[in-house]
Amino acid sequence: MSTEIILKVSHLKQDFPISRKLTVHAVDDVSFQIHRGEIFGLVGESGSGKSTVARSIMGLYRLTDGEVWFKKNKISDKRVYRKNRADIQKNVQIIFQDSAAALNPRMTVRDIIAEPIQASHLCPRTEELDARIDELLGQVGLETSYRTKYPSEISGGQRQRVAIARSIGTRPELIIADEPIASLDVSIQAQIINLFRRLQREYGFAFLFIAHDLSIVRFLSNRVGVMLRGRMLELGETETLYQTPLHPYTKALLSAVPVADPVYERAKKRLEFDPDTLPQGGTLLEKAPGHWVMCPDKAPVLTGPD
Amino acid sequence: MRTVLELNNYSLSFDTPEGEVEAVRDVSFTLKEGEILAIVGESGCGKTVLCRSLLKLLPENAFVKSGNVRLCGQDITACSERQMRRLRGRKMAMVFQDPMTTLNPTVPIGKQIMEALRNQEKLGYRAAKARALELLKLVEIDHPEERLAMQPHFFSGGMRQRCVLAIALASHPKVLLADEPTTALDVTVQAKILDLLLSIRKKTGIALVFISHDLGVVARIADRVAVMYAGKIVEIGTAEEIFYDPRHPYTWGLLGALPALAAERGELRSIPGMPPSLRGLPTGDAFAVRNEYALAIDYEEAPPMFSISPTHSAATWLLDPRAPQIEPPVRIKRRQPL
Ligand SMILES: Nc1ncnc2c1ncn2[C@@H]1O[C@H](COP(=O)(O)OP(=O)(O)OP(=O)(O)O)[C@@H](O)[C@H]1O
Ligand SMILES: Nc1ncnc2c1ncn2[C@@H]1O[C@H](COP(=O)(O)OP(=O)(O)OP(=O)(O)O)[C@@H](O)[C@H]1O
Ligand SMILES: [Mg+2]
Ligand SMILES: [Mg+2]
Repeated sequence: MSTEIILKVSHLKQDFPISRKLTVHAVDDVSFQIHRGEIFGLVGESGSGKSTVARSIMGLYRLTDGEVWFKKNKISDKRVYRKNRADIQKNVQIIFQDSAAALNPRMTVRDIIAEPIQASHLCPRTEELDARIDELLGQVGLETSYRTKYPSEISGGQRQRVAIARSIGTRPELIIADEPIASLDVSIQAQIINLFRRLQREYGFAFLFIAHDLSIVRFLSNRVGVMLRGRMLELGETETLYQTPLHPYTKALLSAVPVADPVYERAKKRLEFDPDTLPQGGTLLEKAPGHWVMCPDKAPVLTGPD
Repeated sequence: MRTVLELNNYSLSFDTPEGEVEAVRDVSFTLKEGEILAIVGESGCGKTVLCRSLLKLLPENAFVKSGNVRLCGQDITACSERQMRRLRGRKMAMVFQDPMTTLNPTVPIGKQIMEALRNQEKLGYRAAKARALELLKLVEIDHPEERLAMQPHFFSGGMRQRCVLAIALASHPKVLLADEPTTALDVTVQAKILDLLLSIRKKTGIALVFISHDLGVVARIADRVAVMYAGKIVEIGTAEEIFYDPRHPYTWGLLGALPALAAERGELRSIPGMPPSLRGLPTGDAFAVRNEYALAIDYEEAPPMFSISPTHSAATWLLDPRAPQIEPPVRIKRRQPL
């Protein structure tokens, strides 16, 4: 891993006005950075804003506030984005949370995987392209006979693997992977995770890895951020965070990880944390080197009459 | 306990231009009232097709090859679409793997839940709305009141999944086929949803077929577990039998791929080779080529189900008395409950 910062998200804010009464603060002042070749895990409550962070980075929304930097460019600025479009198209790929369902139903597996490679003018010769596609299919554990299939003819997990193959085809510098493996069986999960690691080591791919499976996140990520209600509550080196979680929500989350041991699992006591008790304000403080945790803002000291 | 769902030697294939795809092969099991059967297995092994076929929600090129399905005592193998429409929802409902196959993206969630409710019973607008609200709260959706008016694509992945579950539960089915119903949920919400399913089961005696890749979740919720490979059930037993005393080499492979058992070595273990395509399956055991313990006979003849206990059986020649004794390579360490 290098010290070069490949992605920098700073003070990102994304509001969605729902009705006159309700505005969802989907992402509320979130900052983090990812180094070249680093895997950054993002975990947290369902609905806490993880996918919104991913989509905001990809420029799918007008940011309410904050900035997104890719390498030296502030891509949250539309003009900068447009000027660097070719670089971004080749070097930032996203695996959407519902990408398996969103594959174009009228395209074959081959064409789906070929599209980004062709858009970046890689593999100009057909034989080259076909060889690359076969290689990619193999890497995600699909037989080459799947090339001619349409999405409706393959299973959920097979579709997901097509989406993964599509995302790594251009050898991007950064992959934003939103729940890429939840729909895969554990053996293929293992294969994909090993593949991600290899891509990280051999080609220096960096990942923003969003997942609910905390054991996989622990295995794969260098650093982890924990989100709740649109906010980053804790952020640190993976092992530090797993071994000494500081925020009560992180503790509750870790205690709820289900383990493959029925007698233990049925009797297990979980720590509870009620998200409604989360104080409104708060500041992310560095409690130990590299280990940040959300602390309530100090209440103003009330001084008595004397 | 009454048997609510029974499959006997059920096989189903797809007719495709390249040949027959054998998606479900000779599957038999029974499900009792209030029982939770988990199905685990390789991606593409036929779990979803099996469930969809029980509700007859498959494209035209799918056909039942053999066997039958009984739902609450009635043979439904040959039911017409009209008869099926009366069973779907009320008797047997399904939570689909991909929530967007159930949800209409342009219709507010509240309206969709209310429609499901009013399909089942005569309800006025207000009563239906109140029930819809109750259901959203039940599945832990925040701001349910405002969310009733929101369209599905304004929901997070996990919220959609919970809405689909709410719709399925609205019709009080006897059997719920839940296809990966908690994959998009964080572990704390997931734990609450699993607890919710367990408490509904206790109250109403609903029976569940629960498809999941998460073996921790299976350990938490399942009474029994069926392990599927290439369209077949290769091992079935109580949760304790499958986790603490697995007998099929494929089950060993699945358990061995868990990060908890593999993390020290720096690389996760996966089963070598690729899952077979279900077209033109080999004679003999479909798992043989990937099975390091395969015997010569595995390549010639598919193993029958060997019974290990009244509740536990597995289809592997290793259980034949003539086969060599093999120590399973992985063991789930039983922990002491906290
Ligand atoms: N386009 C949108 N319009 C309005 N609200 C939205 C929109 N997209 C997301 N939201 C809301 O923003 C919040 C965060 O959603 P997001 O999808 O980012 O959550 P998530 O952390 O990815 O959850 P999950 O783990 O369930 O996928 C939710 O309350 C959601 O309803
Ligand atoms: N309409 C179809 N025509 C032909 N083959 C099909 C069709 N639908 C599914 N299949 C094949 O049937 C097999 C079983 O698919 P199914 O969706 O049941 O898998 P699954 O066990 O649910 O996998 P996953 O865990 O990935 O969801 C797959 O190999 C798939 O390619
Ligand atoms: Mg999401
Ligand atoms: Mg499936």
